[in-house]
Amino acid sequence: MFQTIYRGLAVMTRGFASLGVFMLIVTMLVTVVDVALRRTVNVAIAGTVDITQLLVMGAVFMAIPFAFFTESHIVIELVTDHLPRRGVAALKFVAAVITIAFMAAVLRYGWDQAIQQYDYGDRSQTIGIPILLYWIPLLAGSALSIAAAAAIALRQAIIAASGEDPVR
Amino acid sequence: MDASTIGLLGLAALLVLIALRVPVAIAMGSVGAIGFGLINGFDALGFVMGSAPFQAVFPYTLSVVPLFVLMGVFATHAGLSRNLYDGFYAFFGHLRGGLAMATVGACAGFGAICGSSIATAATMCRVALPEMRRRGYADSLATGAIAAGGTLGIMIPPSIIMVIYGLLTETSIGKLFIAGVLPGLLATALYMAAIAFVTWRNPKLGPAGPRYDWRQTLAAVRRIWDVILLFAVVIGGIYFGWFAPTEAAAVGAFGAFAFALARKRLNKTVMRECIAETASTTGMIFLILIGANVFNYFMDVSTLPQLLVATIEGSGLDPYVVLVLILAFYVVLGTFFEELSMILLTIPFVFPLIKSLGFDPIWFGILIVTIVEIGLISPPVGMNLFVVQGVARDVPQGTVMRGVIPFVLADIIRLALLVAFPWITLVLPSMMD
Repeated sequence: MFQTIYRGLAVMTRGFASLGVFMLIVTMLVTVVDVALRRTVNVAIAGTVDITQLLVMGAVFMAIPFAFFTESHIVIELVTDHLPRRGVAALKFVAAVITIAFMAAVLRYGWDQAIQQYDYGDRSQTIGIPILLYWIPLLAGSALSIAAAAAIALRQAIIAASGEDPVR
Repeated sequence: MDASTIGLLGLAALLVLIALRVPVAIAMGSVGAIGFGLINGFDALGFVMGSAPFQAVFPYTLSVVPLFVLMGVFATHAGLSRNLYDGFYAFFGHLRGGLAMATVGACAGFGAICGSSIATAATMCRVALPEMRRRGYADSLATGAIAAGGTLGIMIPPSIIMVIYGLLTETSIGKLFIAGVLPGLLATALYMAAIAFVTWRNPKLGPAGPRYDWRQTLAAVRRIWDVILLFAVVIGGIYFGWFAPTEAAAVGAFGAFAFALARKRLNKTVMRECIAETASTTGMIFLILIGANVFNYFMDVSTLPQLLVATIEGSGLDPYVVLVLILAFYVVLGTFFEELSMILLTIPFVFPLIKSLGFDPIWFGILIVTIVEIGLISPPVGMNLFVVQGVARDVPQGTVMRGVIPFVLADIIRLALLVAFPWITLVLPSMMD
């Protein structure tokens, strides 16, 4: 059961990350076309800055859960290098719990800010994209990061307690 | 308890969490949040936690970071490194240590289209290490040259570390890029001199290879036109004001993508790798930026940076003595701290001090990048050492560490030259005005 959920989350974070990189590739193309148009026919794509900001918000916050799942976030292993496997698992469990708390705070207070900006009707500067759209990747990415960290916490707790890895 | 005491306790707590394997970004973010809450009240914390992560990603200038990451990933998979290596080999291969020199040259070339030292070291390791071993090079020289050469990826523009420094300190990214050109070339020359020196002392470390005739040399040089074009468009574009850094990064990423596509390198498996590498690097960098943003709110209200500036200004020390002490502190810190985190953690303290002492922010930025380079090849947490060892698994760690010693010495000489002669760094950016 746990293995299925864990694998499902792995697939979901990878899917999110792929969508994020796709957004980045679109950013690249929009910017290149904008530069080319400006330098050749002196015409610019309206709102390139707004579009870039929106797509980059998507790319970044969809990549963060994937980085949790692939353990790409930077950790310093110097002090704990020589600990036994179960000791390292216990520390990874604690790290995952702190991660859940931090990302939960980001989600909780981010939600408040997003709702506030929605109520005020805030929009982007050039082409008036609703600011709420910029918040969606942040909130979705934070929620998925919490799920990823919870799965990691559970996995490491089982390793620390029994020495057995529940994900093979 | 006063704010500065909470600030100091927060710093201590941060180091403890980092030592206990909590991701650096999460450690900075959670300590920053709690510290801010303790000083300014937990009601005010809601605003920080709601806005800091958004503000760490939203500004348009930050779009340059993932686009340069994308450019580096496509450049790595486009297969440009092999031709670079052959091009430099044509010039240096017949010399003692010539293959190692060609490796350093190719790293410099690859650094010109990829802003990451780790990607540069990993890519060149796969290309250059088998060749050097086949020609009887000592493992220490071969791995040392690759690990050190890889660091050129962040000095020769474009450079992700320079982008982060520029954003943190509100220094022109374009000028930082241009300022890195001469120090990058100096580093390349000093690394080659280090190779010449060690192979002069012990020729068995790197035997000379056959000499290319002029036709072969010309043919090898012709094959690196794509790298030269990509570098010229991206950095030339910034230098001559054709486009802003974000646009240059997009054009560079597009160019690297087009080269990879033209060389038929982008099959399904490679695209999956490109996606995974881009996403994990982007996620990692931005989570650190988010954590650092929250932490900086805490540092601001703790008044520690202001206290540090006031204390040092009141000490009456000569500014250059202070600078040397700061650089020495960074060199030590860089040996056991991850470099990006080190910059994000310390710049909010150190930069106001540097400004108050009247030093040029661009010059200091290049000094910081040089120190980051030293940190990347200094044990025990030299990331490039791990990268090289990850590819050359049969080479003992001690051999890799022994191999980088001449290059660390070359780096220290370079650092001294850059401190003594700011002109090396500042001449090109001054022409941009």
